Amino acid sequence: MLSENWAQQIVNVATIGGMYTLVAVGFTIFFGVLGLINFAHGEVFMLGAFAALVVARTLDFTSTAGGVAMIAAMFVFATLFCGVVGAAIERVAFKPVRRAPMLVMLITSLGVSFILREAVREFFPDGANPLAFPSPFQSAEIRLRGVVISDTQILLIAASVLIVIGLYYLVERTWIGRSMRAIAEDRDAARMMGVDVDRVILAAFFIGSALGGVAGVMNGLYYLSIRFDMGWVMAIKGFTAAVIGGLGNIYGAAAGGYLLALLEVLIVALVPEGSEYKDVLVFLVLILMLVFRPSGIFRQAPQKVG
Amino acid sequence: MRHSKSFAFVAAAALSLCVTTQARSAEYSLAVNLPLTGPWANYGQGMYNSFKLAIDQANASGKLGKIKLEVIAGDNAGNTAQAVNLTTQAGSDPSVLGAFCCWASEIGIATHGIYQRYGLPVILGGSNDHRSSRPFHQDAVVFRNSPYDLINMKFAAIYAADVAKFKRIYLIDDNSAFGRTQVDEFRKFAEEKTGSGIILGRESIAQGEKDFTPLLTRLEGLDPDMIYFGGRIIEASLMRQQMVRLGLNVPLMTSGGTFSDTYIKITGDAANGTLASFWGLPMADYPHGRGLVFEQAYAAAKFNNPYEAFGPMAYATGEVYVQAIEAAAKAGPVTRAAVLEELNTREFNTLIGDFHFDKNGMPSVIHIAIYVVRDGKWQILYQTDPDATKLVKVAQ
Amino acid sequence: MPEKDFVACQAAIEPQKGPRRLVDAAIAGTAVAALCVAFAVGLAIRQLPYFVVYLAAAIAIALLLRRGPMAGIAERVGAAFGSSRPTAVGVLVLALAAYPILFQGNPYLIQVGALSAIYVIMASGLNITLGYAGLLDIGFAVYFGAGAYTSAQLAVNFGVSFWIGIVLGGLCASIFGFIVAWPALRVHDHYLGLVTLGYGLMMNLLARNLRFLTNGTDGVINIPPPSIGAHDFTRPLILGPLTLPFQANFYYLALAIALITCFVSYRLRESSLGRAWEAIREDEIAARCSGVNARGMKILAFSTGAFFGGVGGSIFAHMIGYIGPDSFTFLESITVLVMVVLGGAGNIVGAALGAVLLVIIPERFREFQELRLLLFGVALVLLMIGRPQGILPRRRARRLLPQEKLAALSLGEAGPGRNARASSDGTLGA
Repeated sequence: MLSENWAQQIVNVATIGGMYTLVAVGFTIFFGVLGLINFAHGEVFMLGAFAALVVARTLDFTSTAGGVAMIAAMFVFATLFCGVVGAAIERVAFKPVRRAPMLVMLITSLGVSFILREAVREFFPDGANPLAFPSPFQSAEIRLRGVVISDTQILLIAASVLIVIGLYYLVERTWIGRSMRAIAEDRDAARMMGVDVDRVILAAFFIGSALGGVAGVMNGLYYLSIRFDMGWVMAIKGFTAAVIGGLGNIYGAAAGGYLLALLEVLIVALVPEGSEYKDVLVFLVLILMLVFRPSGIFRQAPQKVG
Repeated sequence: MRHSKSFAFVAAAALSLCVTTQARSAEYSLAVNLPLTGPWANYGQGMYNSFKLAIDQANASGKLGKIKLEVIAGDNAGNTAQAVNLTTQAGSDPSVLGAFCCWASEIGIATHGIYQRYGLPVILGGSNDHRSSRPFHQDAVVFRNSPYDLINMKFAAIYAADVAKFKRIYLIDDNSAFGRTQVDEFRKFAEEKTGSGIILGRESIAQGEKDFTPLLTRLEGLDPDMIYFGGRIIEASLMRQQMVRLGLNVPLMTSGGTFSDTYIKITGDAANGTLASFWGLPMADYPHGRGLVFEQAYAAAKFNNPYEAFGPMAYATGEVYVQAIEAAAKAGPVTRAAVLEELNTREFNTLIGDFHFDKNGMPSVIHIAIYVVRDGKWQILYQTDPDATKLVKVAQ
Repeated sequence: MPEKDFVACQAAIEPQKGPRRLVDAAIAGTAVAALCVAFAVGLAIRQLPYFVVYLAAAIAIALLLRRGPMAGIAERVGAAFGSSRPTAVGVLVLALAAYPILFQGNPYLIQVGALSAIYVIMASGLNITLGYAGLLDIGFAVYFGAGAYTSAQLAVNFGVSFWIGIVLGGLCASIFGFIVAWPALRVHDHYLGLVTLGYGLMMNLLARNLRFLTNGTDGVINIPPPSIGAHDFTRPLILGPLTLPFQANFYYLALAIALITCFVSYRLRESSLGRAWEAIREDEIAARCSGVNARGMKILAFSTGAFFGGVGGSIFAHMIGYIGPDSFTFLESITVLVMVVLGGAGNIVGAALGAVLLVIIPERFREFQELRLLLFGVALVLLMIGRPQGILPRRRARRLLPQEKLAALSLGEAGPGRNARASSDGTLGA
């Protein structure tokens, strides 16, 4: 009985951790290339979920094949949409303040986050209320010796793992990844070496935001309900995960996401009244990490983007 | 930047733009303080529409004479601080004769003292927590349109322990005033009947939480035969879906915070097997056929939202104010004090029954019913008898 | 143009004497009075068409004053302000005191006025932390809440008088400021902002959970209003022949404390403490080399700002009669931040102006209350891109070394004038 319980909890960790990871990677990319803490990233995550909702409402699905197609369409659309939105935000809001003190950039990103969140609340039909998120997977599930894994969970876990692997290739093997690392090390030197800084930063924002969008779709599929304010808490958690792994360290962010999920599940499973204090402890972890170990829990010196 | 000062002026002017303050022409108005947006908007909109329907009907029928009552729509979005703001506004507005508040218990608790400070009579809709009502405080302006949790939970516990005979109940609340008090009271009544063994344990979750799988997984190990959730619709829905997905196929029992068609809609098939205790009856069961008349009138008014679970009581609240103001107008100048006087003394004929308010502002008519979701619909299982002393099975 | 700069420079350096001084005082006083009247008119207009006309006229006049033929008048008034600040302030205080009398038919507007004053207190507090010392604090609502809860719980449970409670509330809040500042000031810049963010969120959650301390989500109800002797603040205020609604009590209370706060802020800025903060903000390493105890000063900035936050919270709790965790969320922190940033970080009048604007405008906006946050976001982004120093930029200290004065006079350079312009192009943290 107890071991089944633990196995089930591990499935929970894997699923939730995957979402945190995707958001955390976005944060870490933005910090790496721009030194920016991007509050708006949580709202991009939220936009991913809403974009997928629009797709789901426009295309109706009835068959299983239709269901797969719908999921694919949701992911593709949300990813592209969020990537574009992220790039647009960079161009419009962050580029003009790129050389300004950190304070200014932080406040700018705060402002953008407000705009995105309130725009959805105000202008999306019925945006102020929680909205049901359709999923073709609702009742399908696999049982392995008392542990229940739904199809959705399998999809989410697989997707997150694949994306993290893809990120490795991106960072190590592609010119974008190399350029991003170069810019993270020293922006001016990179420019002198011939890196088109503006283009690469734009691409970085596209990628980071696209990942956030993917996480948003996953969140919608998993919880079957989305709200205009869902980005806010996810931003804090994703950011905490990024900090745990060390800001700028993509692999750290990936690990941080799962670690944070593990921490949350442990709190709920082991600590009496744990559910009540779960978020408090997460914030406490954030503060402690920022104050005492801002380079993350991994011992290496702060590496920028990779 | 060259024109930076202009920029600042533009930014400031942008904030000032689109300002409208309509000249308030109404001399008499009623202030509403409900969750018109946010997670409980389904309830709030239904209540607001039903209340407004009653007022509009009264205005149209001319029974208030020269008085045209206006309804001020106050949206508290389920947020206590916003609700307190609305209360202060309503209290400071001399045209407001009465208020209709709050749906959420914590808002009722937070605001009753402020209504009292302004001497503004308020009728509470929802706000199940007894601490928002007299005699648990001494604010004479506060009335209710439904029974409070001490009555509601008594019958919920009677059903759970005596009728359904659950023996291993796990309690969860949403850490709100409403949820916690409800669970406290349910526990008290349940343990009174069968001793403390019936309750396995208790946990609080946070409102806005979406993932209950770690908690539910842990509960699976405890093997409950019913989970009681003192909380509201969104969390209840997610919890139910996750319960079913994990294979924890025991009934989930809730109350007024969840009882609605919206709950069934957003929970889907998983909703089947949810129990609820609620102080409303099926429309056909209200006396003198008034329920069906209301249903038709509501449909004819073509509102954007259904009247939902709290609609009938909201409509009745509107009727109460109309009758109170009508009587006050006949007796002299219509002031808050005059309305208060009428609320304390009159007999009211409303949708939910013919009643008066007792010395604690409680309506003298009480129904509590036990419902279950079956085949995607709420079906009534049990109902209190007219004296509200026991549960009577309802013929299926 | 050199001659104009020279005049401005002269006006700044040399104190005005004699008849010129009286003229300046008269001009400044009239200008302030005119602004107050314009503001009151704007507040009082109820019909939309008239308000649009009013707004259009106000913007037109403002533009004319900036660039058009009336620019000379604006310069003159500006110079007058420079030399006769006490008069200007005096007229302003009189106007503010008259406000409830003017609006006694509309008690809600008086309460809005009281709320503005409370926010002025809090904005002044954040102005010290952010504007003087350059430290980003986006968890300011914690101090507001700490002061409110302290004062409220003491009053409700122990019958402690408001007048003691407000001081204790401020002190408790400054302790909360100290708690976050002491460990967090090992890190810099953006990390600090995030720590304060996490702190604010965490404290709000704790307020919801630690029921024995805060009553959890129920909040504290029936907070007794302050009283002076036998006069309870929920009774109408009788001043001679006038009977003002009870909200006027709170208005005058908040106004008095706001004025004191502004005065204290002003003195702090001109003191050695203020100079230390300015040094830290400008260049911390240089300041350290000059012997400034950077860490201690920064902690002090946090605590001082927090104190005022607590004072504001305390007044708020007793005015409304209820305090709960919903009353001090991240939204409140952002609101105070926008007030300071919009009005001008480092500038007391700016912070006060930001506070008043951001309370009054949403109130007038009530039908469009929903757009409020959206416009916050837009205003923040526009401000950061276009004018990060806010409406009224911080003023450089006008203290000049003797040789600089000499240089300015002989070379005809506009000494302080030019410097001021340069700094007003600077960004928020610089």
